Amino acid sequence: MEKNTSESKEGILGWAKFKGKGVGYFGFTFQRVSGVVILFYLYLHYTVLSNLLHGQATYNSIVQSITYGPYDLFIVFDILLALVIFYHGANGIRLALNEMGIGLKHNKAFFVIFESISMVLLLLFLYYAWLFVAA
Amino acid sequence: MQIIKEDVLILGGGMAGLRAAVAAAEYNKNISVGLVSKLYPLRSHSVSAEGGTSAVLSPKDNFDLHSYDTIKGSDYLADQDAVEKFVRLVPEQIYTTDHWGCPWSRNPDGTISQRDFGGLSYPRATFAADKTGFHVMQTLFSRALKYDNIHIYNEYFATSLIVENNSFNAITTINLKNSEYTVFQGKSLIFAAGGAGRLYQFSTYAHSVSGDGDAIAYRAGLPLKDLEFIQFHPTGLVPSGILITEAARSEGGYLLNNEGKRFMEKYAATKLEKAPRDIVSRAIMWEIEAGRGVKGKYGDTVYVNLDLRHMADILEEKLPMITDIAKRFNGIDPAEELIPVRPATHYTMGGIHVNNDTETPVQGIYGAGENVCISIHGANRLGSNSTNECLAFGNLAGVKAAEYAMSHSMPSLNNDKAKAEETRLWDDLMKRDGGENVAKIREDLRISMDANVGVFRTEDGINNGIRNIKALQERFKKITIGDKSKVFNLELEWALEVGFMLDLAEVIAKGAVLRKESRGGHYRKDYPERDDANFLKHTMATYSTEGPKFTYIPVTITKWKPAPRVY
Amino acid sequence: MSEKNYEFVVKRKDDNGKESYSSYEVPKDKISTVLEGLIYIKENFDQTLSFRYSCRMEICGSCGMEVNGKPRTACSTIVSQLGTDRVKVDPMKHYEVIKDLVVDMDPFFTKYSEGLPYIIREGEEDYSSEIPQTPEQFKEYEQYSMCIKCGLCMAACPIVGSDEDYMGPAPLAAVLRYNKDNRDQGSKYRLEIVDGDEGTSRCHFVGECTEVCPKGVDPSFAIQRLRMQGVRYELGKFFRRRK
Repeated sequence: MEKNTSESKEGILGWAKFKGKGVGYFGFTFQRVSGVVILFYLYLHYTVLSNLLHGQATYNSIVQSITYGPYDLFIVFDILLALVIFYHGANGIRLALNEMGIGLKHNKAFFVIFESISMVLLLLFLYYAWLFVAA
Repeated sequence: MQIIKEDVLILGGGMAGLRAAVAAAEYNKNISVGLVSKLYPLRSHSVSAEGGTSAVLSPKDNFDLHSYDTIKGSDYLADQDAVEKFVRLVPEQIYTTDHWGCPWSRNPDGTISQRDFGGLSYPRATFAADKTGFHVMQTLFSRALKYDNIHIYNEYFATSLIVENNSFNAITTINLKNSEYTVFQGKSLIFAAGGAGRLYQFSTYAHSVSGDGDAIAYRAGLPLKDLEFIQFHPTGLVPSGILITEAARSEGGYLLNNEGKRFMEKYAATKLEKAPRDIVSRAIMWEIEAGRGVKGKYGDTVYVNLDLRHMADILEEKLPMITDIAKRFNGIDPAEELIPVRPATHYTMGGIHVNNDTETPVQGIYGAGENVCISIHGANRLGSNSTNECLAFGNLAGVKAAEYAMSHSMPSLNNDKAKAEETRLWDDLMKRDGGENVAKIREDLRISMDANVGVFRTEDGINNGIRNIKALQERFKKITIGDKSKVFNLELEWALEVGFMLDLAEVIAKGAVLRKESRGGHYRKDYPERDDANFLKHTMATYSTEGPKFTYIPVTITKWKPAPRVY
Repeated sequence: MSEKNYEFVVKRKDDNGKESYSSYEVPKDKISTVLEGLIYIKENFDQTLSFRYSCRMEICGSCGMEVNGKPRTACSTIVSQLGTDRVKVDPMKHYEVIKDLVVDMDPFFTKYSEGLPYIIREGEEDYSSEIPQTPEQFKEYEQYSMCIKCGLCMAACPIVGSDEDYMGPAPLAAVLRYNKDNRDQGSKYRLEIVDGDEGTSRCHFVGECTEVCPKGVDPSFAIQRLRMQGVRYELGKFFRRRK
């Protein structure tokens, strides 16, 4: 008999199917996605920094352009980046605690508490960042 | 045709089969053991065993007491030398499985705890909560993983046994995964394929218990012993038939009729609800026949109620599984509500005839567990005497089969018979085209068996049942297997099972009509008394093309002379 | 679809690997569980349907499948509690489908046996008495011993779906079950196997295995406890070597 190889393995695409799944599933997928986003930003950051090689003026003009225009749309991405970092960090602390055996029995509650705290911190951060940029 | 060779073959992956496999593998590391099952071993019905397993562990208990309980429970049809051997084999098996990881329920000091069970004169039922079978099965399966020389063949459906010159030759199977016809050759074979309870409609059995082992052996000429004795468990959950363990009653549960009254004192004045299963089952049926059954939520099914409300505090610890089952399947909380129950087939006392060393009359073929009849259960198995039988005699059969395999060479395959079976399967069975549906035949058989060869039997009823079986056998010749698939063909599996079931139903019904007495699980309304003068003997059924031929062999009596059985 | 029927939509796969859905109308008063529905379909409408089943009381682990998108045991899924009259039945994910709802369980049992899931004891055994174990010691591993090997957790785990070498929830929970048993002396062998990339480290604590487990085994919790054991074991090994 011919071996029938078709499988119902979902692979990575299956990570995005949240319907009917628990909160841990969402947490897991977004930890991955946010990790990738942060990594991308890190390289972008290096790229921007590397402009210092072309002198102070060049670097300043780039920073100027993405903060006050004409490319100030970039601030939206910065806000998203902050969101992702705060999410990733809080969930990461929860997982680290889990691995040490802390909070295992109340996993969902831990997820909600950690993410709530991190979102409050995010708002604070954004407020002060706004004050800084606006000044 | 594929051929697989193993030194020791075991048919059936339940408790007896796994125990035998481990015993044979341990006996000698050079013996290859092939365990052939139509399921994955852990799917076997043994996992459903709930309440407990009797073993003499306490110094206050003794072997004679266990023997006596067993023999009295059997209505004196058990072979007493076999029972005496059996009770002595059990304790070591309990300790062995404990060393292998079975979580037997414990006393606070760490020793194995025991509890009361129906028909016991000392509380000797060893248990693992109410999941005894499940835990023992997990233990044995885990132990089997440890041995490289155990090869488990999952989902090979056995279709026939080949015997040559009165010794074992081969078993033929279908590999369900790809419908490949596969012949297992071996030096010795152990039958451990379980009972035949799904011949009946209302049953505590798993769907897979269709008597395959009994039927295969019977067709190959091995005699079946005492097959007319079918145990009805008093408390099958209505409507599904799921077992509500006897422990529910032995821990103190009551049975109530439609007036809300306990009724057992009319039928077993001292033991009440803790009487053996055949007696309680009949009591429930008498109540229902007298119009005192409950009729309510479950259609036309009449039942009685099991009351556990007064023991709500121990449900979680002692009876967690049935509490969960009642909640899940019926939406009933046993701590507050009554559980609907009625008698359901639970055990096949009869089976392939084997002696006290688990040997069948055919050289190289052994057997253990519910598949065979030694007989230690006689006319009625005592609750808590089945899992221990699987362990004790499974172990013995494993050792005996391994010994045999060590001293014999592999027989050469009888090719003609193997080819003939292949032709029967693919050119006869699969190509039948009379339009009959196997599922309908099976349903009609089950309804007829429930009605005619059930808890209560009469000459007319059984004869009616035999006529039905004959008609169904004719219909079976005209089946159409609608699924022609070569991959996991469940319809073909059903057809083969129904073929087996029709043969066994005939043996049960004809054996029952010949036994003109009432004994244990076999109750004849037209002969309500036990008749030791004429029927203190085992029924032996042998296959012939015209139907079973019956002979009788005597019962071995050692210390306990037959006496009236009062509880 | 009438009020009196459930609509069963069942994923099919034939001998040639062709996949499709078949739909059937099953009378509500004839069945209670999804398994009973499937048996009713096979007995009355479609002889070609294949699925696995045995005990029908959620203890044998045969009938794992996906019901309305969630891995469940068909025998203990009560249709009236699903909240809809439409029952969509698929084979479990992350397994190779043999036919219709029947999947290949062999890889699962292979992984299961990798972690040495049996009692390991040193020296000769004396089977003439039990090994003491108090009820408290039993409680240590009780829930992990309830695994029925239905394989639902593997179907629910996104890591199993993307990394086929990962041992998976049930096999790891079984390792903890034996490590926590006071009669066992084989923890060190098991930890050598499960500490590492395809063992406990691959778990990202999604927790979906625990969500779908019908027996309350809580494999995700088990894996975290197993990690703790692993960390202690590896540290111990490190310092012993230094001495």
